[in-house]
Amino acid sequence: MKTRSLYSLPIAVLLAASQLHAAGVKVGWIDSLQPANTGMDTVRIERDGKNLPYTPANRMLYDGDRIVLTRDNLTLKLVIGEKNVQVTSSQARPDAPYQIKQAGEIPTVQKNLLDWMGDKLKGKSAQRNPVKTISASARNQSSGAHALSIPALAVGNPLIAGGTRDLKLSWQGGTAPYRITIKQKTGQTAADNLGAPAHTFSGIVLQEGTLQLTLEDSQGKRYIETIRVVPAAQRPAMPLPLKEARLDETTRNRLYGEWLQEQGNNWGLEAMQWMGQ
Amino acid sequence: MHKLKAKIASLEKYASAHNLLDKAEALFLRHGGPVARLWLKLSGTARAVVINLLIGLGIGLWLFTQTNSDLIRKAEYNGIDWVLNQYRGSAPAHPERAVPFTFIHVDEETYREWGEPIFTPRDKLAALIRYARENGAASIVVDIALDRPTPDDVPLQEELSSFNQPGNRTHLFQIRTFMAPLEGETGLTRLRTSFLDKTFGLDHPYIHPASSLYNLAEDGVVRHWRVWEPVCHVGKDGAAQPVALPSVQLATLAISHDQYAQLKQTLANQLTPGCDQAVELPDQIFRVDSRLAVHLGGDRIKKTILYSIPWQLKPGESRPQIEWNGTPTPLLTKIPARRIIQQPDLKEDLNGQIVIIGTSHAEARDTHMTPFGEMPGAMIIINAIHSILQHGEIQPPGLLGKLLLQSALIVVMSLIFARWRSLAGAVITYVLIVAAMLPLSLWLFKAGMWLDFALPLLAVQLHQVAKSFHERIDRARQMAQIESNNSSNQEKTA
Repeated sequence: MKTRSLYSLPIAVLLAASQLHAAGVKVGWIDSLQPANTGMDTVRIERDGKNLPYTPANRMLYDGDRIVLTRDNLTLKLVIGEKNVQVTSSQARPDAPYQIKQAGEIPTVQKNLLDWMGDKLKGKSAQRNPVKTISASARNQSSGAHALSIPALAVGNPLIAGGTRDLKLSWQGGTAPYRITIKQKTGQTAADNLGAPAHTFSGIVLQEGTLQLTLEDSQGKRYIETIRVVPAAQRPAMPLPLKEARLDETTRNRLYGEWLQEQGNNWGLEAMQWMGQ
Repeated sequence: MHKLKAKIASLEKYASAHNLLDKAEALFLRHGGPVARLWLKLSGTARAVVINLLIGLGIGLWLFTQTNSDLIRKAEYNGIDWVLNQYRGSAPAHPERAVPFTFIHVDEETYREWGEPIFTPRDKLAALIRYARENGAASIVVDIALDRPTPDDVPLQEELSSFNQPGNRTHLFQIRTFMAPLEGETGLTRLRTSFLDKTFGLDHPYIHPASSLYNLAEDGVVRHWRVWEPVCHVGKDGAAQPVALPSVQLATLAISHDQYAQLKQTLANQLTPGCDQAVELPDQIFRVDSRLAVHLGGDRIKKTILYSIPWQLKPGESRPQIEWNGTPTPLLTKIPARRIIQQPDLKEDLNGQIVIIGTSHAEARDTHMTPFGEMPGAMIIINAIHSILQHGEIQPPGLLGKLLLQSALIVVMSLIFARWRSLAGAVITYVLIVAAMLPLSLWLFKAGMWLDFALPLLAVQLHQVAKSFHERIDRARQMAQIESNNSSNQEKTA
């Protein structure tokens, strides 16, 4: 709008007022001390007449703070405002501490108006950069995530009872050889170079919490699933008639697995463990 | 003589409206009865004021119906951008309603230090969320897509499980993404399923899905928010159901006023069964208190984001401070993510603050044009949240308010023109408009009200152009008449 320049002068005159100043404000923090193995006790922060130690909990810097480096050849990296500042031992001596100051002025309507008028007079457009380089390329992950699947995990929010046990898995899709990895908070277990779409992790310790299963094939296709590991007591108990029935262990477990499958989608993986025994 | 007649013809072409007015005036005087007699008793200045009012208000009314025309829209964008830039980086208008923001960003240095990963490493993201939660953040907005699983999701799942723990008070907003409709697809936009859905669902008490969709103006600038999104969610069992997703700024506003459940209910009430039908955005109001309210539908101006927090400071500038928990605290603190990852024991008082975790590195392609120039998407979210917490939505004056203001301007302008004709009058009225309207606009903007100064200015300017044509035609006619009389006299004398 060409007419904007005509507005500026009367507004600037009308809106002339005092600037805001704040005192004792947080202006930045100590980022790091170099050399890296230097003790934090070599830094002292003077604030309101008190000496404060530099600790992980006390890194913030306020307007008016003074910093002292008590040893030679140290460099303290600070962030003041949004700028990085380096302070050396020679700039923060006990007899001449380094003074922390607010980085600049807080913009006001009056200041912005005056800056805008200055830019107009200089013929600058403060707002937009007229030329900008852009990239017209895409960056994508090459492998799809849905080509492989584990049917027992296909529906619901999979749950499995924790403890030391065998974990049986079978899947479909993809191209052999496969790699399957189980990650838990405590670490990960993997089985590599699998020729068939099935594997049993024998005697694996399933800890309560989250377990992440990653299945990959030779073409780089990947299937990732998260399973909640719950206490064994949360697994629906075997019904009493089944427990007392005169059946061999394999049949009893298979029937229990089938029954578990009917207890909601979430128990599909657990059911698979019993049906296959 | 021919030249003069041609000039008259060309002027008359542009002034047909005024010729019509002349004819209308003649008709009115002939058949107007007592009103016409009253009109004849008026002084020249009073008549000018009335005619100017009729013309000015007519143009004003016409412009009011043209709010979607290119001309008005561009004038509105320019006007709002200019006013916003005068408030750029300044202290909040309502410090008592302001909440400090901390923007933890994966900047260029962090991105390279982490090996330029395609997905933000989930263990690191978990550490950033933990940092914000353990340091007392009231809300954490994760502006990083968490739709697709990666092989390292366990730490993130574990961290998010902490939001189930008794005593947790931190809310987490997971910004969701959507699937563009395929050719021939109708109905609701589809929500992209996240691997976190099956663990935390869409109704978790502390982990909320939210939208960060904004409207892009035709000049490529993000100026307007979207209030909520009716979307289709396809569960793992394949069942599709409509879901109302609030925008992140609306959700934050509701959470900060303990009205999130009411918001969810209000939005859910707008949905129709099934995903096949598009939802009409209603003109219903969601009110959090007597001062702050947001229309769920509403027009363009009401959805304007009142940007005030710039991404980069100019040399010599600093961020405004607000009083927070008894301490002056910057309105925005930017922390590169690597600093938090490098110092796991980092302590910071984020009590009650809003923390946004996002990206600012170029490869993320999450940079957008705004009235303040380019900024990362997370900074648009910060500005939108700050804007809604400060002002709710912008309050444009109604038709009556605009017309009253225009009337006052036109009356004053007509009186000035009656006193100082031609250039002096034009300059004085211009200065008057600028002196009265723009500071008023700036002041009302601060209060969250938009006084559309472009509209009355345009009406007055158009009126001046029309009036000037009218006078030029009158003068040209008189001159033609004099010249014609002179020629006939000379012919007679000869």
